[in-house]
Amino acid sequence: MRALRTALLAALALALASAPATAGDGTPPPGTKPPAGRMNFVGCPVIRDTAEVPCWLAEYQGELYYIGIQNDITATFHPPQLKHRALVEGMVSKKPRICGGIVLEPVNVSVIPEVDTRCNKILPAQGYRIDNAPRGTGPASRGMQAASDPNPPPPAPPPPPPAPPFAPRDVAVRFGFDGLYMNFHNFKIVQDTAAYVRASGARKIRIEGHRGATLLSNGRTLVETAGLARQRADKVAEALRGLGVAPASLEVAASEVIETPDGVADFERRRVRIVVTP
Amino acid sequence: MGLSPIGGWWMGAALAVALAAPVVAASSGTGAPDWWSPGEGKRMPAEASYDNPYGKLTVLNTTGPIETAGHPFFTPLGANGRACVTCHQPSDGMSVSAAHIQARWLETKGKDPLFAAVDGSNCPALPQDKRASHSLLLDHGLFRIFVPWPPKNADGSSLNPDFSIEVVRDPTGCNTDKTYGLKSANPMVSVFRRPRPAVNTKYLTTPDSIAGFNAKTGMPFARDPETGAFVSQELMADGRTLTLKTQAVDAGLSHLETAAPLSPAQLNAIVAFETQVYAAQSASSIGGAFAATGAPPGLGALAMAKGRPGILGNDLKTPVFQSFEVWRPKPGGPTDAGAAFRASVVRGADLYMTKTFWIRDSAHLNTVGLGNPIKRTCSTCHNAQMTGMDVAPGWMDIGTNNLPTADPLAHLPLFKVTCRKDAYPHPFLGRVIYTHDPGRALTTGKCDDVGSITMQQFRGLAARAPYFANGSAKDLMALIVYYDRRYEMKLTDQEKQDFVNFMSVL
Repeated sequence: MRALRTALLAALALALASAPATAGDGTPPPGTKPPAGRMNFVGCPVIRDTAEVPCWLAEYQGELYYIGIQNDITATFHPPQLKHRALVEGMVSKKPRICGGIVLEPVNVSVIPEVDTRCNKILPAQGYRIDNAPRGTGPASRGMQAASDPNPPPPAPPPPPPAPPFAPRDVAVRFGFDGLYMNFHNFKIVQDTAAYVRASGARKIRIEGHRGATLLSNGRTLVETAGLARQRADKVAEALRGLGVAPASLEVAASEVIETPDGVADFERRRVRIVVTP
Repeated sequence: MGLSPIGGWWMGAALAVALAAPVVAASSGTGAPDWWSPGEGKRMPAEASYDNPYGKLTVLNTTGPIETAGHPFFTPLGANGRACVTCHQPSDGMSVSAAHIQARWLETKGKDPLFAAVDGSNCPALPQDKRASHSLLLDHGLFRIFVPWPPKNADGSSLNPDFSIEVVRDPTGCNTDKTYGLKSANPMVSVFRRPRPAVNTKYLTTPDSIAGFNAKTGMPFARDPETGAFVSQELMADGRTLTLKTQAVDAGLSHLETAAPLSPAQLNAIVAFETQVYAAQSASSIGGAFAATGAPPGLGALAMAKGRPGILGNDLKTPVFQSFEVWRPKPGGPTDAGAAFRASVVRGADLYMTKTFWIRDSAHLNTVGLGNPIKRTCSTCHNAQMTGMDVAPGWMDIGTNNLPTADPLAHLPLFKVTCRKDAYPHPFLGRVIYTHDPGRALTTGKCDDVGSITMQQFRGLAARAPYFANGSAKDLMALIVYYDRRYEMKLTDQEKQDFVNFMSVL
């Protein structure tokens, strides 16, 4: 039923110039699997309470995979959430296990939106350590004897606006699977783009929303919810307007066409493309 | 109450006295003498101190004495005889305490404009001469907040919410009332909330310095509709108005029942007053006057006036309430009750900044890229220096409104929220949520906002019990006990009291 709905929507969708000729409904040929070394799966996240900083794992088919540590919102790794399954898309590293898990690096993690209370495991440290890990903003269990700064430095000045020459710019804002939330890094891309538009006086900004599919290690394909491409495009357009870009300059489009997943770069296709023409 | 072992040099009977429940100041039993009635016309001094159960609170007018005769903050402007000051009393840290409310009921036999039917009673449809009709205000300090359903956009157009809402039960009767209810000709949702302190507002109105990124939505900060500048969205429990000016317009029409929006001159005067007034606790009934003891630099109303807003305080270089080192006990130092109390405050400050625990299942904290759970401290969420608010727009669902985490609140309405299948669910409660107050979701119509409330500043807490937006914590200990249960902090009795003492001096 979902495939049929997807196909119908795809047929109705606006065909974008950027869509590849092979684009379809996200169904790869039967028997297709990700290349060796890739691990793409949906499983429960698990957090381990090490003394230094909690580390994040994901459980799949009885094995634990290490995916990262607790950090803050400006970090590049955004941890999953207990009470939700996670889509993990990663590369098996040759590094020794960390926190008891096979290391996936690089790795992308998406929070599956529906609540799943089966995913709710906090493991004790069990002797595992995270050495030399940046903890991120926020104090650890240290004393308060450290002298506080009575005159903290003023906030850093805003960066200077982009300078000419202004060439066409083509950037991508990426999303978690089935997600609409822009994390700090993706927001920065939108923010930088808005600054570029303002500085260059660009009068045409094309926003293209896309949804994607992911080829899992078990050969199944996970397809994002229909309609998400438009929602993403609208979200980015709203953000650009909120950052001072003239609404009249925005051309918003969306494609329900889903590129065939390859199990390698599928996370890159869950995106909004912004094309700025000065 | 158990006490933890103390080093040999720091002992004595004074300790037990200092860590016990706070002494109630003689003049604050009812608080009635400090009540400021609308239209009194008296002069508000540049600096005034008011007794409260934990000591004294000081209110500072940085522009000098205020002539309140005719001043719109202090003057009845609408049909019900209230002024802004009715619910923003200087002696109560510019909010209003349940103790003060009860005193006014007794003194005026329920005739004070405070008890206006529109929101000072459980429902305007109830007989207004009965105490029971005002029980939420009298017993819990709660005013009725009534918002249209479905919600409206800022331009007045209707918003298509992600969820439907039903009344499971409502002891006030208002949400099922034929005139004021959810199914009335003018459908509205009535929830009940505490008034937020109208003071120290530069900290409330300064948006986060992380370049306009609203981590709660992944979007830019909202903008002031008048000036176009980014706004903090920290003013109201549900973020429904964005600036001091629009809040005053909203409050005038609803709480004061003005016939028309306040005039530009009135709004400017109100905003000017709220922008220059500062308040904080200035003395402890046990620990002494802060100025006399070499106060920690972050304490007191003057520190609030001098402080800089927008500083992220969740690190040891710029701790949220600055350094308490001057109160840390030293070998050979005093061992009297005051010193023991101050030592307890220091321990409370340490706990606030360094006691780690699992912060989990809290929408708009565990959903902003940090993961669920995170092992952090109080200062992770309450991170804004000087106020303990959040430098990002501070709405979160910490569970005070939603089942199953809310304290038993049989006196409040209970709603069932059902999320549409094509909407994002609440991140930890799913698609069916039972809540006493949908919170920010009544503004945005989003399921993931159900139960979220913008956190309040920690200043002047001693003067304005009860706590939480729904008044569910009757005192500071109840507030700490809630957090201890909700987040499994495993605090000892000693640690709980240290937290209470720490919060009582802010």
